[in-house]
Amino acid sequence: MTTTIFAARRILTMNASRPFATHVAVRDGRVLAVGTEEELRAWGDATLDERFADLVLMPGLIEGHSHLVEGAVWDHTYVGYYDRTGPDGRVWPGLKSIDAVVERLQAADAALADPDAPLIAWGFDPIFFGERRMSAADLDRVSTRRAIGVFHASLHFLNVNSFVVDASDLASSTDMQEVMTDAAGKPTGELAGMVGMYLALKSMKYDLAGASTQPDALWNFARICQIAGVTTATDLHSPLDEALVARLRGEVDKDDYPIRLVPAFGGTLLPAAQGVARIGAVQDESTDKLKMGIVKLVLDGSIQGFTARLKWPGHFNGAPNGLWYIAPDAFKQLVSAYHEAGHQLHIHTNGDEATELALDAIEAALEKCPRADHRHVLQHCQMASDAQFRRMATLGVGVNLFSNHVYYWGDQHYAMTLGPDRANRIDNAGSAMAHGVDLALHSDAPITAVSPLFTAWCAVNRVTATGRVLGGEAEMLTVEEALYTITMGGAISLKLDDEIGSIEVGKRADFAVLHDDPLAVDPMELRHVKVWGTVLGGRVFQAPSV
Amino acid sequence: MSAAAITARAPIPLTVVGGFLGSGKTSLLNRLLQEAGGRRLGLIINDFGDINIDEQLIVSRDEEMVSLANGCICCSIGSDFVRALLQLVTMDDPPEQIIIEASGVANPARIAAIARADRALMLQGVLVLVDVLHFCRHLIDPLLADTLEGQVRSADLVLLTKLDEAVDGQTLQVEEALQRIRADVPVVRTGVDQLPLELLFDLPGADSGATGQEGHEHPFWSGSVRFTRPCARAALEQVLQDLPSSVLRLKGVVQTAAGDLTVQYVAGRLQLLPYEGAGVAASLVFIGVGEEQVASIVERLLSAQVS
Repeated sequence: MTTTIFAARRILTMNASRPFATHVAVRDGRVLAVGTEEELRAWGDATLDERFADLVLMPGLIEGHSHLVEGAVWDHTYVGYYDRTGPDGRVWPGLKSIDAVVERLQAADAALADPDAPLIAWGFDPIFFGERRMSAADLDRVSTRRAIGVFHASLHFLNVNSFVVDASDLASSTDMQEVMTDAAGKPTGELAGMVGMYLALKSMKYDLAGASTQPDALWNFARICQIAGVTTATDLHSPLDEALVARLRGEVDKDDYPIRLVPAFGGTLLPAAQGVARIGAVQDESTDKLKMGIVKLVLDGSIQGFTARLKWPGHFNGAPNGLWYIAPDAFKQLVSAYHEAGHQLHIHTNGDEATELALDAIEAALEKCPRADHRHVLQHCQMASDAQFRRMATLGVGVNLFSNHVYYWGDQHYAMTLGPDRANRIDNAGSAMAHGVDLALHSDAPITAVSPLFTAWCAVNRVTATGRVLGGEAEMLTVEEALYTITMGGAISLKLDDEIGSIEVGKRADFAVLHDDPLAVDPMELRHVKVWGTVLGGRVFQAPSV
Repeated sequence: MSAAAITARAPIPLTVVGGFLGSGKTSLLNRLLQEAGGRRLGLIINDFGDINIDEQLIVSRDEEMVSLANGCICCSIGSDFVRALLQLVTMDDPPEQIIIEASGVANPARIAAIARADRALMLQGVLVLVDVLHFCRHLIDPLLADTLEGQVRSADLVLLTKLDEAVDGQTLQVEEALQRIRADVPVVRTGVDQLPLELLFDLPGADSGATGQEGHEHPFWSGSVRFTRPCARAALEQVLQDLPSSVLRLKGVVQTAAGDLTVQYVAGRLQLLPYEGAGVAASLVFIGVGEEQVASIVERLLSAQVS
């Protein structure tokens, strides 16, 4: 029974009864005591560990909405507009022109020994290049001898080179919305939707979902988290079949695997009765590090993809309303089935019409089967009105907002998708808090990078990529509130707040180790607070760096 | 199998079956499995649980695929529709025809788009089932109206179902609603049980001696035309593009000054490719629904010949 006392410059505990301290004692992977060194010594023999003496400790950060795919994309070349850190700690500078993208791809092409292997890249975002669209001709400058696919940040669009265009039948399909064309009506090599995914899988064997649960990807995912100070992260849509659970346990339960993983069962992957049976059986296999039992349902699409279900007046640019991913009545039955079986639901709703339907479904399920502390969560829920937050508070429903949207797509929401009124109140964390709704914030990695401190920065400052501030102070969180939300907020949303989320006696010794005190920096600098690494169950994990 | 070998194969005809929940898609799939008639069908379906599969016929099965003794294969859409389809397309011995059951809220045109973008596939048509008992009620539901309208707009053919349970005037109301959504939508009124399955399957080749279905029990008609002179390509394209929407499909081979062409026409979409074979009579077969127009279609097609 050894005890370690970690000394730090400052410890932000997120425990209201002792918000700050300088020392934390850890025994058996849990927090034994928090306070001054003298207070902690009273517990008996202990080793003093001073490696954090100049650093700041926070509770391990919690990413409540991410996907293991983030661990698989790093097998491919990153070509996004923003700097992004890979699992080895290498920072890939953002690419500010299509020429720069081509250049990085040329380097990747040269490094690819197999002449027939496809070249795959990800993270590209055409919205930053105005009228200039990437075309097959651009990618042909990289190679015409192998298939090239460049996936957009959304992962729902891609650009291909002539090699892929010529191998398919795109030239006779130019009247389809999935196939972009130039002024002359020729396919440009930019593809959308299932057509793009199909051709990518066929011509490039691009299988992210399959790759994402292989051991390499699981480790890459964990390292990405570790680098961001995250100690608990979700995989918010998983089949959780027997083989996968065995594979997850095989890696996650290893002592040196640096995060706790919370996969959510994809509730539409099986008919309701079978789904309930599977998640019921699987949750008993949960361990200290692998937590299973929550269920994910996806009700609509995305706002920037014009596939979210919006209430009147719909899209600002007049685009038709988006798509239901589940028929409304079938959705209500699913909610009811998982609710009655005692599971916590995490429901993806982007548009306000989808949010309304989700609340109707939960209300109906509760009327039929009252359940204390069900704590269902609406995920994304980017357009919620005050009336909807009031219903959430009444129904005991929490929310996990996609605050990174404010920065990455806020300008598009302002000008194109939603218009100024609704863009100004997108991901309205202030309103959620004012209505007493349990609040978490997320990145939806790999859609945006895992970095809860960046996500908190978005919720605090509400600044878009072009510098526009969306909404007034009422929607902004204070830094204190935002830090609480990326720790305790995440824990509450996963029903793990008895175990993680704060540094206090009895909880797991999961810490984020920071170079700076996020409460001491200018709120505009919050996103630049440097992460040293993490501590998980008392074990120290210094972040890799290059 | 290598990518080149797959590309060299004749394209697999693909039909998408759409329609809202309860419109009868599963009944239709069950009929297809019963009456495949020796055709090795590949079915991609939403939910295995609803399909009647005779256990005795099952050759092999796993969570996502069932192979039957009659050569048919059923795939579950599972987590990834694209993967399920690709699995069928890239098999060493792929199905002769693929039929996809779209989910109740899907726009079948978006699935059909895949068949058009891949040379290994040939879109045979989009069949959308409309349940006359519930369609009008769903149309006034603000959560569903646009989804159902989108399905009707994407249909090459609408099949009315549950007609025998309809009360007076209900079917007429549905037909009027369909007209409002899309005036030229071809509609068959047979229900699932009476639907001639030929409508879903590939047309027989022009040289197989196909003849028109003249009988009144069939809601569709078909005909053929044999050319004695080469066609002018531009004139042929024009004639085909101007065909009424009641013509669902047309295929065959024609001669032009620039060589023989294979003609594939599916519900307004035309594909002309160089014909690689030899010694085939220049002729086209076609199939349509609604008011019989064989003679006028034949006349139009013949007008594409060079004078």
